[in-house]
Amino acid sequence: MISIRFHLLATLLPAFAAISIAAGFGVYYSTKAELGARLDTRLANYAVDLRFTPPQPERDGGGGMRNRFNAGERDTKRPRMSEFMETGRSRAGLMQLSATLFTNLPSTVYCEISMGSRDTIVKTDNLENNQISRPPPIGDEPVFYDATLANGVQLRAWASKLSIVRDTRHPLVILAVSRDEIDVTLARLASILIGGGIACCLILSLLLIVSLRVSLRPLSKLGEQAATMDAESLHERFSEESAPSDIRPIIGRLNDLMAKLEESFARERRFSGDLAHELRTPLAAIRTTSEVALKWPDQASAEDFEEIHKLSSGLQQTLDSLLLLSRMESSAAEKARESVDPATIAEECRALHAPRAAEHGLRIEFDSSQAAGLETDPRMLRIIMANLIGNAVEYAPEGSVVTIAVGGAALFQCANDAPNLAPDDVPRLFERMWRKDKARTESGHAGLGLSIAKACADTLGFELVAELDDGGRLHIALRS
Amino acid sequence: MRILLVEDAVSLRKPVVKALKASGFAVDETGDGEEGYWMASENPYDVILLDIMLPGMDGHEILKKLRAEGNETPVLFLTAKDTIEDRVTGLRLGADDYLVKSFAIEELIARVEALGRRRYQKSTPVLKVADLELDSSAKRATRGGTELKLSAQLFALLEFLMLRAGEVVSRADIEEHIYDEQADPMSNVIDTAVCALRRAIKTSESDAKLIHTRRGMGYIIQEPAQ
Repeated sequence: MISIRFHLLATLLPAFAAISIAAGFGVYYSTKAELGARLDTRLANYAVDLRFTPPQPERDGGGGMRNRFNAGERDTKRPRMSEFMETGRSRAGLMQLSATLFTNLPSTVYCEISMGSRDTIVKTDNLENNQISRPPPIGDEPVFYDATLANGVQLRAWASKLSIVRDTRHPLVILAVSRDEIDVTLARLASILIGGGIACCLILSLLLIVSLRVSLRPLSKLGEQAATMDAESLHERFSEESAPSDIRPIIGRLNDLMAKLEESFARERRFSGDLAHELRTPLAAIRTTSEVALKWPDQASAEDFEEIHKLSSGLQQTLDSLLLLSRMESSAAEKARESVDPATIAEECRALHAPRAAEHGLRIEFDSSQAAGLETDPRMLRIIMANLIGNAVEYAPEGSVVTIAVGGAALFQCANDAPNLAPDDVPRLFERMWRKDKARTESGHAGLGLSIAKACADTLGFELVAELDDGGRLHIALRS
Repeated sequence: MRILLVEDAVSLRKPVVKALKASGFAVDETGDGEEGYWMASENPYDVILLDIMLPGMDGHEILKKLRAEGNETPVLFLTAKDTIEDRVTGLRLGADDYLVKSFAIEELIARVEALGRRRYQKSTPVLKVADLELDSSAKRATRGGTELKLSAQLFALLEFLMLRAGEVVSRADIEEHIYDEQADPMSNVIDTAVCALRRAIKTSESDAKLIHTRRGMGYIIQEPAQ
């Protein structure tokens, strides 16, 4: 099972890590580029310094700097590179030249002046026996490139042709500084970024875990409350007041569900209570009758046995009805499909209840003029019709009229006067064991007839609708 | 003891009435709630047996009304409803006992007897006057160790007198508690019955006279003055 917490962590943490890594790379490479650019600027400045070497070797670097800035004005008074080149023909001259030429350069700067591909003619002392690696072929413009010394030191170098000297050997000037400083800086930056990134990720995960736990607490509370619920606590409701707005709809739905459950549990409880009553009363009668007959045999009579027989038949009928109902409701009922003439079945059911109707002084109006054949299960249709007619005959007041109509507005319709029925009772008519008068225990009806009819109608895909009209007449219609 | 049984299921009412009568109780019966209430308030019953679901007026309603009128007759609910709530509701309304259907008839009779005794503040089923002993649960009466042969009616009469031993019991009282509505006691039925009872409890010539007549008032059962 994937938890919301896990899902959020699994999404947010890698996303944050990716963003951090990208940002780290960005910072690292922009810093690297910036440091490289600064180094190049420094090299370019040294190149300018080199071009305008001070006239007197004994002058200090500071003066050199000043002179460099004023170079434009006093250009003509300065010795030029060409002069050095011309004087640098002898060995002694070279030494002198280098001493003069490099005075203005800091000791960390390497410089080499060479003639084309041939040997170096002048170089700074710090180079000792090393040589700066040569640049790629260059044109008139100076180039920056990464160089190395023979001893492995990494350098950033600037190279330019000495175009001012009209020398066919194409003299080349190379200035270089060590990259060590920026490499160290970059390495430190990288370690800070990596360390910081990891720390940030850890802190973020911790924050996420804590905040998720806090914000998901109402959900876990809901879960805990739901876990304590059982059939006995269906009247309880989940509190919406302190819940975050996100889960309020869920709580609302849950509460609706609880209300429905409570209602159906109440209905089931009512049913089992009614069932208990329905079964217990005849059972108690059988038991008491037989116990009395046993205890006072001289008072026992054939009447007692008749009574026991009648009661046990009644019980059997109730149980059969219950079984039929439960088969219908469990949708396990097998239904046949045949072409059926509803008028014939209705007539048979009417005939079945005719004696009872006559006993109650009822008049039955039977109309099958609009009957039409249909494809359905005749057995279940018979159960529906028999129960509807049976119900009407049983509960219609003496001397009233029961109307039976086959076809027309409905497949089958049955109506009878129901003076005791209130409009509120109509929705409960099809409830199992519901009877308007609970105390009618001796009627031989357990209040299952209409439930059975309804279950059969549902199985056949029909609709059974009850309506109480203003005249207190109950109409129950079977519609397709 | 006179009992009222209000139960709408005729099939159950009939054998219960038969059993109660066979046990020596005077029993009035009805299947209708309102009629039951009317009978209970009109007659001095010793115990009332009430079903809860009744046409007309339900058992709870009858009990509530009786108690509101100050009628303290012990009431036993006889019902198919067996949830704790149902029992509690009944007992809260002032019912004295509760029996769920189906029940053993012996148990019902024992409970009715217990309730009847409670009415006369007796906690044991054995009543005693001098050497006359009556066990109302075993339905046995002895005089000085000798078992007496008594019909159910005479036993009930003796039990009624012994329950109120030392008190004068009027003929009307006896009539109300020993005979049910169906019996139509003639004016001398009580006298005849008492006479028969006197004979029945006299096992030997030496036995002292226990039942005395208070002319114009009724009868009293008491130990003979020393």
